[in-house]
Amino acid sequence: MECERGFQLKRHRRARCFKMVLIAVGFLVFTNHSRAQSVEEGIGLKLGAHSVSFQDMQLSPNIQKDFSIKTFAVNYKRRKSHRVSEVEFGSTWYSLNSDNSYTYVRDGISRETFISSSTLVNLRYSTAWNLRKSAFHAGLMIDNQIRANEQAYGWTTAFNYFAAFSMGPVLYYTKAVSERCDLSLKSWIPVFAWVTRSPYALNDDDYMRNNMNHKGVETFANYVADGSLKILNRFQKFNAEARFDYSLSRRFDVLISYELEMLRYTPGRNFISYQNFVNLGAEYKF
Amino acid sequence: MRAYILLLFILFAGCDNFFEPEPANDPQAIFDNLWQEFSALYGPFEERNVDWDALRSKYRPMVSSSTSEEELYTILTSMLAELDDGHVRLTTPGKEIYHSNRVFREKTDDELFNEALIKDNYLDEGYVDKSSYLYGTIQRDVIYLRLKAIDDQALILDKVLDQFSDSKGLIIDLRHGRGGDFTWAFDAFSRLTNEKRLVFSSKTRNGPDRNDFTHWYDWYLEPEGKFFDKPIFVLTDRYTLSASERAAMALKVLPKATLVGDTTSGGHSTVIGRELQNSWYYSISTQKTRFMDGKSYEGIGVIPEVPLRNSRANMAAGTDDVLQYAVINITR
Repeated sequence: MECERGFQLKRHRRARCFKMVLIAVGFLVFTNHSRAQSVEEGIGLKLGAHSVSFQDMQLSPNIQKDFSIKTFAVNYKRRKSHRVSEVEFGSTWYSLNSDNSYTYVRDGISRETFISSSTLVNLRYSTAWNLRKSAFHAGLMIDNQIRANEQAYGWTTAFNYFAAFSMGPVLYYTKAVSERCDLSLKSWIPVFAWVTRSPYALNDDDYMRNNMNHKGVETFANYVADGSLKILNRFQKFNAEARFDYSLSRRFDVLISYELEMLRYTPGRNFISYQNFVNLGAEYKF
Repeated sequence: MRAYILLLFILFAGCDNFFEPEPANDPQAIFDNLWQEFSALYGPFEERNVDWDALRSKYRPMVSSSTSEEELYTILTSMLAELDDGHVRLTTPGKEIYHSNRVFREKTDDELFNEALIKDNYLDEGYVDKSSYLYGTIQRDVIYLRLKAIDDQALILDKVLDQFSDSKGLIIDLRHGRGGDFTWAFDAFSRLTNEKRLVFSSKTRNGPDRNDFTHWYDWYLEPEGKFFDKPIFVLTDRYTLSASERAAMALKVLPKATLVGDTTSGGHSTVIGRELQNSWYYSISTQKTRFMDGKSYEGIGVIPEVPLRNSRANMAAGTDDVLQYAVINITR
C-alpha cells in the first residue's frame, strides 16, 4: 500500500514536470508569434513515402522493415528578417511487411497470422537565428515523436509504444539555386529528451493501471508521466532534411523533400530505428 | 555544403551496422533464443516447480546443426510442455497451435461445457448473444450472464442488473472463458461489492535476472453504483484462463458469491508474445500472482467452494449439472 502511494506521488511529480515543459513550449511559441512586424509566413502540406527499419529488442530480435506511402505533414513557417520559425505536424501509418505471414491452425480452423502495424506522429517546433548574415541559421528544435505499435505474434497482437519529447540545437542552410528555386538543408540533434516506452514485459501492472481508465488521452498522459529524462548517453537521435522549393508564383511554391532519421535508445533492451521520408508538397505564403 | 552531403552519405551507407546482429536462423540459435527469452521474461518458474536450467541441460544436447525443423519442433514443444502453462503456446506454419498446458493440448473434458445446451434448455426466450457475452434469464427469476472473454463488453452487467432488477440472483458463467483484460471485469463487478476488497497482488519481470521483478502491486475491487445485494453463483472449469480467472478471483472475495464447478486453469499471469528468427511465435507468462489470502494458485487454479463436474450422460440428456446446481440454489 505504501509502495503504491509512493509510486502515485512520483507519478504526480512527473506529470507536473511534463505540464511545465508543455507550458514552456507554449510560451516560446506565443512569444515568437506575438511580435508581428514585417514577416513572411506560409503554410505547407507534404505527402509522400516512408521507409523504416527498426529493431526493438523488447518486441523481437529481428529487424523489422516497411515501406509506406501513407505519410503526410502540415507545417507553418514564419520568417522575420534574421529569424525563421516552424511548426510541423506529421503522421505515418505502416504495416510491417517484413513479418512473414503464414497459415496456422487453431481449433481445427486454418487462419492467417497477423501483421504488425504502426502509427508514427511527429510534432516539431523550431526557431533559429541567422548567423552573421550567412546562409546558416542556428537555433533550437523541440521534436516530439510518438510511435504506437501493434506487434503481431502469430495469432495475437500486443500494443506497445515509444514516445520521445526532445530538445536540442538545429542548424539550417539555405541557398538560392536559381531565381525560382531554393535549396534548404536542416539537421538537428536532441541533447536531452523525456522518453516513455512500454515496460520491459510490455503489459505489467503499471501499464494495466495506466490503461484502466480506458480513455485515450488520459491513458497517454499516464504513459508520459511514467517516462524519464534521458541525455545523449542513453538517447541518440539525428535528423537531416534536404528540401527544394520551386516558386510558381509570389505566393505559391511546390517542393520536394527528403528526410532521414536515426534513433537509438539504450536503457533496458535497445530500441533502434532508421527512417527515410520522401515528400512532395506545396506551400502557400501570406 | 560538401561536408554535409558527405556526412549524409556516411550515415546512409552505415545504416546496416546501426542495428544489433539478428540471431542466426539455425536450430541451435533458435533453441538458445527461446530458452534465453524464457529465462529473461518468464515469471512463475518457482510456482510451477520448474528448474529452467535443468531443462536446458536436458534438451539442448538434443539440438545440433543438422536437427530438422520437425525435430526442433518436437524438442521445443517437449520443453515447453514441462511448464504446463495455459499461457504458453507455440505457433508454427501449417500446424495446430501447440499448447504447453496438457488440458488445452489434449482437450481434456472440453465437451463438458456446451453453450448450445444452455441456450436450448435453460435460457428463457429473448436472450442476447454477442461475441464476448451471452445473457438472459432462467425461469424468469435468475439472471444468467456468460462472459466468454473479458473486454469492454463485460460492462453489460450494469445494464443486465437494471433490466432484471426483480431477479432472485445472478449466475456469472466463466466456463471456457478465454481471458482478455481483467480490468474491464473489475469495472463491471463494481456493483457487486459494497466495500473495497483486495483481490490479488502481482509483480512482473522487469529485467533479465530471474529475480528481476517489479514491486508487488495490489488489485482491489471497488464499489460503485447501486449495490446488488443478492446471491451470486460463479461457474468455472479447467478452461477458465487468465483474465477470466482473475474475474473468478474478484468474485470469490465477495461474501454473497459461491464458486461452483471445476478448478480453473491456473494461468494467473499476464502474457506477452515473442517471435523466433524462423518466424515461429510463442507466448510467455511474465508475472507472479498471489490471491488475497497471500497464497499463489499459479499452476493450481482458483478452487471453487462447490467442486462439481458435468457428466456426459446428463449432458446427453440435456442437463448442465453445474448450472442446474446454481439455479436450484438461487430459486429454492
